[in-house]
Amino acid sequence: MKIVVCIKQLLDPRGITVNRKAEKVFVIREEYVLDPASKAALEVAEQIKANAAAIEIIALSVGPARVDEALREALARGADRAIWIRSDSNPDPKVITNLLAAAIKQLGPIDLVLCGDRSLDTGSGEIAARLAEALDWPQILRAAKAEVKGRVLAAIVQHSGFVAVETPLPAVVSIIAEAFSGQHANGGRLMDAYKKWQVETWTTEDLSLSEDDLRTSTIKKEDAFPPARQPGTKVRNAKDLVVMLKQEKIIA
Amino acid sequence: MDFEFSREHQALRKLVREFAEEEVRPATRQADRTSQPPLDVIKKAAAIGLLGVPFPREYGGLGAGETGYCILMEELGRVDTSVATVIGAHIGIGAMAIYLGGNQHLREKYLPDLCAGKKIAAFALTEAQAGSDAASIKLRATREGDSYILDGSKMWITNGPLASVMAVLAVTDPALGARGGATAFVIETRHNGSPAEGFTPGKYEHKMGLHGSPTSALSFDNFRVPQENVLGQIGLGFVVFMQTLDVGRVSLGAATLGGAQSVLHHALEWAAMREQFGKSIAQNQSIQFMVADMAAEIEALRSLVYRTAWLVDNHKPFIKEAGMCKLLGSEIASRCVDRAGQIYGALGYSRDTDVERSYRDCRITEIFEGTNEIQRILIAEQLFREVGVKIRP
Repeated sequence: MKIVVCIKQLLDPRGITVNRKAEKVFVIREEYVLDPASKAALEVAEQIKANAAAIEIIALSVGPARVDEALREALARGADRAIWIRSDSNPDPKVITNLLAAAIKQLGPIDLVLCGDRSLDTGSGEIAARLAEALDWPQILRAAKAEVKGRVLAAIVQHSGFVAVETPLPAVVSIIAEAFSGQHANGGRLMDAYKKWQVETWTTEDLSLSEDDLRTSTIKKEDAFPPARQPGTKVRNAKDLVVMLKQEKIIA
Repeated sequence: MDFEFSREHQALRKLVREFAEEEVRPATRQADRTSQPPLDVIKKAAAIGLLGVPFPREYGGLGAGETGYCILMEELGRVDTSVATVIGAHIGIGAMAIYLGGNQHLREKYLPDLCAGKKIAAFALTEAQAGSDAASIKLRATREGDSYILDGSKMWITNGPLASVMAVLAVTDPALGARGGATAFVIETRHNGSPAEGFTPGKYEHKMGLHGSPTSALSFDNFRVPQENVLGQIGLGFVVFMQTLDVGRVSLGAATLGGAQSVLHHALEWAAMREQFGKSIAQNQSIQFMVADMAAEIEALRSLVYRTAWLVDNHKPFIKEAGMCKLLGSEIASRCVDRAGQIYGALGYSRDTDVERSYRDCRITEIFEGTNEIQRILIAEQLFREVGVKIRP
């Protein structure tokens, strides 16, 4: 069985400061990290592998040369293979999806594709849904847990709780960042990822995509700065809270 | 000349920094207040391979060399000197003595368990009457068949209350003294947590700082060690112990580098935030001079520490530079915490700040692993040797 995990690298938000008055974002320290939702997806893949025999985990990432570091971290986090899909332009979700879908088809029979649900930066959460459409596979979005028992069994976040869902394989499943346990990469595997193992490089030419597939369809109109969040209402005690909830008709 | 760290060392630094911030930092205050080492943090470090950073992969280590080990110590020292000391005594002198002095059999027998954190190591040299004068040790090892029997005691042993494997130096021939008459052994002092026969952990030291790093005396009474546990050659244990300390001084320099870097960071943040006389105190030249001096010294120390680590990894002579790492590192760290304390004002005297803990933690670095006076003597000895003069017998 083969599992593909699509991972995303992003600018470390701890290296950014925001100046609200000037409506500007400053990058103090330009460092890149693996998106927490990607870490969660890798962790789910590792758990599935731990409970079954002969599973190969393949990490895929689209981006410039720096994503090599994220792919090596994926190897340290249990991936057996890592493939860098080289893209020096600024691909939008449509192009990223086309690149990933073409790579997944090229990899041969894949049973399961895992993605991070919403990245810490853009957070649109659309890659998994787009991928499922491109591959014509069923999808499960916003899963907090996923396991494979002939089919994919997952717990997805809905309203204030979880709903158990399942789908046949092959399927695309996106994992929420909150599912990540906080486990650190393994040091020994991290050293091997740099000294012993390779990251494969695939270019857009390797993936036989049309020019149209590689053309972005997103148009940037302007930069918008989100307004400062307004303070909410302070509730003094539980009794006031109950009164408020009744007024809002949340409880009877 | 290439001042860039290798990619695997950069990745290791990122991993250790993340580990230090997410796992070590939250446990720091409680360990300091309760004088209990954060054992779960040590276990987590072991689980991702951090207790074997310098040793080759074949012994269960990460194969990251002295440079990798200095990166580990710097990043741990940045967050918590106590945890850096527990891990440093375990890897840098305890396991290191086995790695440097042990034969293939002893390395294979002990290093994998130590790298995996299944056992904690210590390095037992100091005695009541043998501190700076390490050659005056009295712990006696008497031959009996194919074993040695240890009788006597050690003092101020970092990890003494935790360790189940120790490198220990004992006198095998009192007539010859330390040089020729002292032998290094690797001993097993605890089995499943209980003290081995003939071993009694001694008094637990209540220290000014490093509260999360337990220190104790050790007492041996008719304690049996198989002869195969000799590290290096019989009678030449002093050499094994001194070689181990030479390497240990580089990483101690790295830990002080992390500590100094951290107090500078706190001082900058506080100076930028604190307002007096209607402006931030960072606007005062007196503060600017202090942070500039701190940063300049830290940068010089960084170059010294990593160049010395490079010397070690490339099998070049490094003893003089190792002494300098320890000497300058501890004194720069002390000056930095002193200045940071001044910038913090009364707040830096409060136990609610990291600066106060750093002030207490850092004092010992000028004393342990060879006092700074001893370092100066070692450095001078090397300097005179370079001009062909021997200044010590």
